[in-house]
Amino acid sequence: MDMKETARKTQPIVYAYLAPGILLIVCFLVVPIIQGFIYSLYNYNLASTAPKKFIGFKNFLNLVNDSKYIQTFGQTVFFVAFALFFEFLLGFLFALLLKQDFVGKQFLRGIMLLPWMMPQVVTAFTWSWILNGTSGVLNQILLKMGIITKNIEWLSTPGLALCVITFIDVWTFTPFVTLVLYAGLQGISQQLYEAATIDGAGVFQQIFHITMPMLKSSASVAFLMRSMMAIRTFDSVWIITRGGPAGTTELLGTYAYKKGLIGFNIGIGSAATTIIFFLSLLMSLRFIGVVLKKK
Amino acid sequence: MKKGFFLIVIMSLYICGLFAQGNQEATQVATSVEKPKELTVAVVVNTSDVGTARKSMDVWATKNGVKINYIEENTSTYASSYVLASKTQNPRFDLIMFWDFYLDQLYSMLTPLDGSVNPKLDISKIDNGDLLRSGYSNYKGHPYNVPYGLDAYVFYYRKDLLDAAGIKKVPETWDELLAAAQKLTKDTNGDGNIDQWGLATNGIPGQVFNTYSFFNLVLTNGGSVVDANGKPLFNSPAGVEALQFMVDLRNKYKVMPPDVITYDNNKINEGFLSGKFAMLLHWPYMYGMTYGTPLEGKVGASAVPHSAKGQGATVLNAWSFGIPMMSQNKELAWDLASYLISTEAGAFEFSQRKDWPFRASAYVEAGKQYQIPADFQEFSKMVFKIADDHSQKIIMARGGETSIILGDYIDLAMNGKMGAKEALDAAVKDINALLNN
Repeated sequence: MDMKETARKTQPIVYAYLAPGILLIVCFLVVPIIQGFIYSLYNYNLASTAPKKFIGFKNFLNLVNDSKYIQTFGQTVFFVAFALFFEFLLGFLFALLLKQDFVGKQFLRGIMLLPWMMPQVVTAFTWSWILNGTSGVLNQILLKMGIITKNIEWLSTPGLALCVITFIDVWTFTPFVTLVLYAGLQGISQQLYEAATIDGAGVFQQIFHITMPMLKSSASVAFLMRSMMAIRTFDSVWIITRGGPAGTTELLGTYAYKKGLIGFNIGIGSAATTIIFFLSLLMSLRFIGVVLKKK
Repeated sequence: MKKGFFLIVIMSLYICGLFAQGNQEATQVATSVEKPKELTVAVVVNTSDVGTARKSMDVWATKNGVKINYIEENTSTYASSYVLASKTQNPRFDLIMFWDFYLDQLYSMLTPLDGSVNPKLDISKIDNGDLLRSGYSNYKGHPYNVPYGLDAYVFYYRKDLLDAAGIKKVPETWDELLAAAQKLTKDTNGDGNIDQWGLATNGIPGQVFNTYSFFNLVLTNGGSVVDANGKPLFNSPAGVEALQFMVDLRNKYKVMPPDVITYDNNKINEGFLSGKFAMLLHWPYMYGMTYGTPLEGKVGASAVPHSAKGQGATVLNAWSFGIPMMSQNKELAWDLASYLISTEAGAFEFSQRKDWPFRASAYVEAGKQYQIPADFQEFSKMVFKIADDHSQKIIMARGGETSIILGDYIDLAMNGKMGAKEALDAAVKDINALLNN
């Protein structure tokens, strides 16, 4: 009873400490999300003198009926699926590598983080120069090595350009996934591996039956964060291709930006961003459960 | 305890609201008391014009004892910032910098500059007969912009490369342009890949990239881009021929690099200055960029080549200044804007060799006050003449949105996904649907 009494007395203080943070989250996160959803129900153009008009879910219907939006949606699904697949595959392999002891491990760990540490805008500009079809250094190297005989149009070939954008995302964010998984690996007790070895389990068996199950929490956190970031990718596409060639690198983020901020069509732009929000929420719900479930 | 928690949240919100209200009242009290003259000016930082404009503004501010609060915008977001500010009245801009292509989306927030709102704010009174009229032509019946930096497309060519290829005449027609481009497109190092392209231009889909390359070809083919209300006319036969020519330059004749569809201004600048393109359709600032590079003295310039049935023509737009209706210092802002297009400020602007003023006397004054290379003066005379004789201002209705639609369809045509006529008809259909919505 004393403990309950104490808890009851300290709760206001707890709430008082939490209040500023919660207020910030409410003001700068919850309110804009709700406001965005409200705007999505209106025909609202910032540059027009006509007042905004409530049209219900018509903006969402217009999006669904827009073939360009459907194409963009499909491209985003492709991008997110493949980017996350390769980031986790490579991240896991790199994390396993970093767990080993070898000369230069610290150095490798440091430089491995560089792509993630660079501002995305810088990364995008750098890759756009490297991959320039006419004068990019990548084509020059491949030509000199005899791997290709003709310049490859990395950024102006429909289909290939999206694969390149995906590659750039993998290059940028694999270090983040590596870091998270590496931290997860550190938390796995060595005794489990020793016991497994004694029982005759091979390396791959240990990976599949010990390492991967034990990494579920860490992987869930990384997946949660990466999926939400990937689904709203903007910088690299905008700087490198602006959605071209022929709209084949348009993603939901650039589509929403074009509609909302460049076209001033807040209604459609908000509808597009609301869809991004709900997609992110959907993808994260399963994993929030894994992360937050009480043991 | 949950009630207590919500009480804390509500109280916090209330306190924030009181603070905001108090701040507003303090501001109102402050404005009613005499205070030093101040102007809030929005400048677009990633432009060549802002450097000279800002210096001129500082000179004027010092002379007149005015404090200028600069708010820096960038080319991607300034238009939306201004529109938002006009709705929220925060910040309360006194003068804004913008490219007049966006006039359709900004004019409703701007003060007409024909004396209709304030007799002092009348651009015709400061014209003096030497201000390029097309720089501030009426839109929806009124002029709204004070034109600062002249932007007209120019045709650049490498004199040395044309000489080496035996091309004696500078191309003036599309046929001559194509013939020259074909001769100048070569593999210079024998590796089987073209590394010198005959021609390049802005090709990335976007409001002011592939659209402007297309506009120039429409105009030089005798066509029109938009009508007086900014509605599309570019799917005329002249427009379709223009887009087809642009597509063929890349896909059929292969005199433009395949990745021209990813080229923005930066890539064009880099490509030309590093010798990858023999000829170029681009903005006038490119000429000044050749100074101090291996290309200095090797670059010629002339009007954009025209088709057999067309004539020399170019788009003309201006980095401009406008006075928002929300400004509470309109007359002071007008003084500043008038100074920016004065002979003195124009001479300084021209002396920096990146931008071109709209006032003819500024060029004469610059020649007297500053050391301007003779070739640059010749080039600038040509640019001014092109702008005076053959230019057409392009203002698309709801340009922010409609130019994106057009840019995307041009991109589809350039990639061979749609025919030229099909792409332009689809663009007009989508644009009209948007404008009628």
